[in-house]
Amino acid sequence: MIPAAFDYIRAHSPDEAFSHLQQHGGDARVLAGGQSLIPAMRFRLARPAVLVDINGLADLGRLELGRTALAIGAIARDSAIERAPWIGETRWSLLHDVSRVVADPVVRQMGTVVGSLCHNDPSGDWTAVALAARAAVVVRGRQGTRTVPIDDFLVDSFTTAVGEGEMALAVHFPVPGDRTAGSYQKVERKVGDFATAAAAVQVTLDGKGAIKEAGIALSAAGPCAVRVTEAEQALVGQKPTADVIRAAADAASKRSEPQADLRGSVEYKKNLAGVLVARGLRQALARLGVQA
Amino acid sequence: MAEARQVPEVAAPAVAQGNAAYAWPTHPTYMGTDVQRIDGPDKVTGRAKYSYDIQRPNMLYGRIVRSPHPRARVVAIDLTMARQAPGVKAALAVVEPNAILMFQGEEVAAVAAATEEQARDAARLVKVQYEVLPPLTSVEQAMSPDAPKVFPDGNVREGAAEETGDLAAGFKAAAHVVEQTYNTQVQTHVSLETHGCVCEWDGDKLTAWVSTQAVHGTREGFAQALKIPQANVRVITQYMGGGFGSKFAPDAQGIICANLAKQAGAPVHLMLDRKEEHLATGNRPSAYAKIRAGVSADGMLTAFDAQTWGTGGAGVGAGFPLPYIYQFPNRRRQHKDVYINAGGARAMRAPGHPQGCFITEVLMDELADLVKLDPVDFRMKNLPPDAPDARWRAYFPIAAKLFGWDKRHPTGDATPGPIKHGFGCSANRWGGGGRGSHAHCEILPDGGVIMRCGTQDIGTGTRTLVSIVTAETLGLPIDAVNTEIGDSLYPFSGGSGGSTTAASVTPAIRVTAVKALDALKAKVAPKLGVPPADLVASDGRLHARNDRAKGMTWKEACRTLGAEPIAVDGEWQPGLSASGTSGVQMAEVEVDTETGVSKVTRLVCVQDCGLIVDKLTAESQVIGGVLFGVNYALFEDRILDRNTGQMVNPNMEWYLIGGPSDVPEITAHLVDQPERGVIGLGEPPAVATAAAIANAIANATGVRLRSLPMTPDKVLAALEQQRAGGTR
Repeated sequence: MIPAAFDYIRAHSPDEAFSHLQQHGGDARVLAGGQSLIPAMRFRLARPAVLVDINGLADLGRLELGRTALAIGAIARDSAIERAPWIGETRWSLLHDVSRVVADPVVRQMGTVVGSLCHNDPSGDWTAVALAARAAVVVRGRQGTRTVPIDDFLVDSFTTAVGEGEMALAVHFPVPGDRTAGSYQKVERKVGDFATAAAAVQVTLDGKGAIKEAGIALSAAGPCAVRVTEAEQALVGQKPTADVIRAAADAASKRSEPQADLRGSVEYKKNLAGVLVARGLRQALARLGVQA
Repeated sequence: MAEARQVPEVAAPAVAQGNAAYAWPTHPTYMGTDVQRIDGPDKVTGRAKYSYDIQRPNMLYGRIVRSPHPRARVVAIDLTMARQAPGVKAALAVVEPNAILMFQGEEVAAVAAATEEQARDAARLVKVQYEVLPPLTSVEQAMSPDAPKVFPDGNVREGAAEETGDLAAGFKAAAHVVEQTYNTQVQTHVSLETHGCVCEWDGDKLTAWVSTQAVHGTREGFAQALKIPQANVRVITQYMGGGFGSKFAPDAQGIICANLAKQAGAPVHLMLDRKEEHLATGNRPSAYAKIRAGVSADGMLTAFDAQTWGTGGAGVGAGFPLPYIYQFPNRRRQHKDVYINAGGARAMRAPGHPQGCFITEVLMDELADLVKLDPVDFRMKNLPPDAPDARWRAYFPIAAKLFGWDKRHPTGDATPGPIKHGFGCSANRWGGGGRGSHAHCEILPDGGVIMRCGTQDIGTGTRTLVSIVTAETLGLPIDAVNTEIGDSLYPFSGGSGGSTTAASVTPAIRVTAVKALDALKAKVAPKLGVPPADLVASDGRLHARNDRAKGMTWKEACRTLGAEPIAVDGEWQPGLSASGTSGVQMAEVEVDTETGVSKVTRLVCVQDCGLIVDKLTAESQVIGGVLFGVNYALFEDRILDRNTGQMVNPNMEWYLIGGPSDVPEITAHLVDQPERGVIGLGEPPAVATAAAIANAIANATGVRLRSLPMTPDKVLAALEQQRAGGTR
C-alpha cells in the first residue's frame, strides 16, 4: 500500500511542466487530481520515477465557455463541472448527469476531467461522455499544440494519443445546438464503484422533430470506451420512436464487449448496455419535451 | 478446528423480583432519554486509542505466514532466510512438519521485525514446502458420495431428527403444499477494526492490548494457551471497532503475537489485514433447506418437513433454528453439518437466526399467497401464544400503521414501467438477558466518582451506559462520573455476546452505585440529623426526601469523608434485567426489472428491548442491525473458487458492502418496557431484515427469490423464468 520511490516536481508554469516532461520522457507522469494515479502507485500498478505536479497552474483550472466550445482545463475538477453556472441548461444535460455520478463527492473534489480522459480506464465515465459529445483534447507536444478528436485520442486501455514527454492541456466540448439534450446512465454496485455498465447519449433534433445528430457511447464495454456507430446511424434522420430507440439499443447491446467479473456476466452487461442506451435516449428526448 | 462459540440463548423472561433497594428509578433523569456517547468526541477526533493505535517503546511488527492452499500437508518450514532479513527480531513456525492444513489462511509461521514493511518482506522469505491435497470447495461436492474423505469423522455430520406431531395427518389436512429449496450464503463479519493485538512482556507477566469483545475471556485464553497463571495476564480494550461475535478469544494471532514478543524480548504489534479477516477470523455459516410445507384452506399451518444442511467451513457446525417463530403443529427436520476446506464459522450477530428467519418467512409468504391471505393476516393466525418475549400480535399492527401496510398491492406490481415497488414483512426473536457482572465504585473526598467494570465497549455504547446509570443513581451530571472499563484488572464482566452486555453490566452498576451512595448517606446522615433512609441524591445534592433545604451539596457531603474514600464492590442481581425480545420489520423496495437492481427505500422496525437505558444508542443499534440485514440481503457473499477452493473476493472491493446511497429511510420504533428491566438489543434488529426485503421483492416483481444475496442476476433470471412460463 506504499508507492515505490519517486521524485516529485511542482511545476510553476506550463512551460516548466512541459520541459520536465520532455526531460524525463516515459519515466514521468503528470499529477493532476491524482485520484487514479495515486491508488495505482500505491498498489504498484504504476511506478513512475517522477511526478510533475501541475496543481499550482491556476490557468489550467479554468472552465471557458466560448461561442463554439467549452474548454475544460487540465486541472479543472469534476466538482467544478458539477457547480458550473450553466450546468442546468438542457443542452448540457449529458455533462450535468455525469458530473454527479463520477466516483463519489470526495473524489470529485480533486479528480479532473482531463485526467480521467488521459487515464482512459475501460470503465471510466468521462471517456464515454467525450465520445458521445464529440469532444477533442488539446495536447502539447514538441511541435506545439494539436487538437486530437476523442475517437483518435482513446487508443487502448490506459493508453491515449498523449505521447512520452507530452501533456494534455484541455478538453474541448462543442457547444451543442438548440434542441440538444443528453443523458448519462450508469449502473454501479454502490456509490464510488466503477460502472458495471454505462451509456452516454446525446441527441440534437431538427426543426421537424427528427434526430439531426446523435452521439452514443458505452463504458465498461471493451478495452476502452466505445462509440456505437451503428446506433448513431440508426437514429440520425429518424423521428424518435420506440422502434428507433429499440434499434439503437440493440446495436449497443451487440457492440458491447464487456469482461465478466463479480459485477456481472458478459450476458448481463451486454443486456445492460442496451437497457441503458434506451433509457438514456428516452430521458434525453423527454428533456426536449418528446415522449418516445 | 474449534467449535463455533455458541452464545447461550436465555429463554424465560425474569420480571423485576429483586431487592427493592436497587430497583430502577421510576422517574429517571437520564435513563431512557437521548444521551450522546460520552466518548464520541474522542472517537471522531482520533484521541481514542484503539488496539491498532497502541505504540510501545521499541515495538516490533508481527506478520503471519498463512497457507495459500485450502488443504495441504506441510512438508517443511525453513525460517533461515527470514531470520536473516533486515530488521527481523523473531521468527517461529506455528505448525510442525506433516501438519495438515485445512483452510486457506491457516497459520503456518510468523515473524516480527522493526517495521511493518520489514515484517512483510521477511514473511515472504519464510520458505514453506507444501504437499497440496485436493480440497472440498463446496457443500455440493462435500456431500457427493465420491468426494474425497477429508475430515476424520466424515465430511457430513448428521444431526438427530426432530419430530413433533403427526406429519402424515398434517399433510392430509393441507389444502396447499409448497415444496421448495431455500438457501443463505456465507457472510463474514467485516469488523471495521481488524482482529489483532499488541503484546508486551514484563518478565513472566503479559500485557495485551487486544481488539476483543471479552477482556476476561481473552485473559483466560492467553493463560491457557501460554500455560501461565491468569494472574500474570492483563488484557486491555479501551476502544474497539466492532466484533459481531468473532472476537471472544486471543485466537491464533494473539498467541502468535505473545510468542513473538517473548522470543524478541520486545513488544509486538500484530493486526490482521482485510484478506486475513475474510479467510481466518470466522463467518456466518451458509444454510440450505429443502422444505415441504402444508397449509389448510382457512390459512392454518398444518405440516412442515425439512431437510437442512449448511457449512461452517472446516469442522465447524452450521446450525440454525427452523421453522422460525410460526407454529407448525406437525413437523420434522433432519439437519446435516457439511464440512468444507474453508475458514471456520464463529458466532455472528444473532447466530442462526437470520438464516432461519429468511427461510421461514419467505416460505410463509408463499403459503399466504396460496391461501390468498395478506401476509400480516396470515402470520397473525399462526403466531405462538403471546408472552412477554413474544409480542408479535401487538407489533405487527403497530408496524403496519407506521409503515402504511394497508397500501400494499397483491403480489406483482401491476403498474407499467420497469421499476416495480413492493412491501414485505417478517418477524424476529432473540434471548438477551443478564448474568454475573461485577463493579467497583469509589466516591472520593473531593467529590469525584470512579465506576470500574471489566466489561468492554464493543461499539454499542457500553461506556456511556455505565456513566448514565452511575450518574442517575448518584444524582450527578453524567460528566461527573469517571467510567473505567475495558481492562481485565477491573472487576469481572462477561463477554459481549448474545446481546447480554447491557443487561449484565447496568444492574451491576446500579447495585454498586446504590451501595456507594448508601455508604455516603451513612456518613452524612448524622451531620444533617436525617435518618440515612430519608436521604436522597438529586441535582448534585444530598438532602432529606421531604425537605430539599435540609441537605448539602455533593461536594460538601464528600468532604465529610476526610481522607478515606468510599470504596464498594457490587454485582449483578436478578430483578433488574430480563431476557427474550420480539420484533417486526417491514420493508419497501423498488426493483428495476431491466437491470435487476433492487433498492430498499424504507424500513420500519418495531423492536422491544425491555427498559431503555439510552434511547439514542438503542436506536443506533436498530439502525446498525437493519443495515447489517440490508447487506446480507443484497450484497455480501463469500465466494470460493470452485476448483481451487480459494476465496475469490477477500477484500472490500469485491466482497460487497452497501454504500451511503443503499441506506433506506429507517424508522426505529423502540417499545419501552420499563417493567421488564434491561434486556439487550445488539442482535435482534439484524435478524428479520433480509426476509422482509425478500418478501418485498417478490411483492414487487411477482417472482420469488429463495437464495441470498438477491443480486441483479438472480432477479433477472427469475423474471426470465417467469416470462418463459416457469412456475415461480
